[in-house]
Amino acid sequence: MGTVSRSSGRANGRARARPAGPPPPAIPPCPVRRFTPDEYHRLTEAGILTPDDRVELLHGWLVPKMTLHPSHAYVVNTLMRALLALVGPNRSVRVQQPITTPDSEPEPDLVVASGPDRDYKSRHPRASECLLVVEVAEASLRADQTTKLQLYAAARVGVYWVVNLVERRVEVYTRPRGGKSPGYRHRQDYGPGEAVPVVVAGRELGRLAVEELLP
Amino acid sequence: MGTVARSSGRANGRARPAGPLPPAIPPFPVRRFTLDEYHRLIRTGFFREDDRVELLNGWIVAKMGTNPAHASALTRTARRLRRLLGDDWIVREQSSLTIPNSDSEPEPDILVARGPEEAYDARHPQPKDTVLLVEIAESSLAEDRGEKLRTYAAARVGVYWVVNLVDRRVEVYTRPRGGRDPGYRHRQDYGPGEAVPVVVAGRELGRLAVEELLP
Repeated sequence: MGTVSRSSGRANGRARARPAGPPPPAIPPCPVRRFTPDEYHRLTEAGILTPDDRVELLHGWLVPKMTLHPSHAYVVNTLMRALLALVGPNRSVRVQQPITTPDSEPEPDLVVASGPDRDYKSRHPRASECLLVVEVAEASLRADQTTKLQLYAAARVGVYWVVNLVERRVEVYTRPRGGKSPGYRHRQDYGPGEAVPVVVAGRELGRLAVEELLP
Repeated sequence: MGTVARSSGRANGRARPAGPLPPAIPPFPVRRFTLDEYHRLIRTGFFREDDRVELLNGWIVAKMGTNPAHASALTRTARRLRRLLGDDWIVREQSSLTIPNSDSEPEPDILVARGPEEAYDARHPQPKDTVLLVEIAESSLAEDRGEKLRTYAAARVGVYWVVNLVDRRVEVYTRPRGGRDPGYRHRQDYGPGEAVPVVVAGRELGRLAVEELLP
């Protein structure tokens, strides 16, 4: 199948059987060119990256995102309801939307940004405006605890949660450190029977029972 | 420089870098591009003039800047090939080779194509037009013998030279083999004191002394 190619094809309509899209994502054998967030936007405007692509920009590379399992989606929804209730209208609660750093545009599962929704009509929140970033991690656990963690720490995201579905706990990382080897100076884990404090801009807005978040 | 951030920009006082991060091998799989997407990027002026890239198996690969030894070997080789081949064959330096039905558009250091030269006014030479490819290899040696060699063999380019500045010899690869593990079935090396046969479309048109090609 796949007889319908992704566009009308080349101008002269020579019938060439090209596979519909690019070859599958892979680790290249040699250094590849990277992209700035602006260039990344232009790839979308030019119609080269489409919603079907499901990629995010990490350190200038176009990285495919994992497909979401129902349990992952369930946790994201539960958290979204809980955060909306706690955070109120003066801060934007965003679900799987991009945030911008100087070299990346990741799409975290949840973000609490410092401004209200209307602040982000024409741009994405900068990572430095993100008061809380949450990744729900199952298959993506390693990446969320390493690549993403370093990226958020370097961009000075104050509080980063990994909702770890594998080990059934919420990992709360605070006190970001930049530099050559970015990371968080502090980590505290919360398991079933415990409640995670929702701390936004230094204020505890409430607590969420871990059991109620996990599937 | 770059003191005016695009807006208030809190805490993290990092200036936005002017261009993308330097090319590198990513730690995770990245999205690749089709030849058609690559052409659209070029047409829309996505790459600036000093942004030298080529497409190799769907990866946009940055070309390395050349040092004097590389430039000299390139000039020496191209000049002697032109002298030997005359007007019947077109000797091009660092211009594109379009490989249809692939995801590659490399820019070999030297490409010898069938004339007349008007044939390439509106399109780049393709493997069917190409009788000899040359890469001058110093820091790019591994790539020229690896990804480039496989790409050229898969495209059935009959003769491929690696002018190896590290080991001071010319490696002549012939009898391309495609399939899953493309490569050349035959390799013959020529060192100083020897002369490389210039075989074009099955006929030896002369020989070039290796010493004259190496700086």
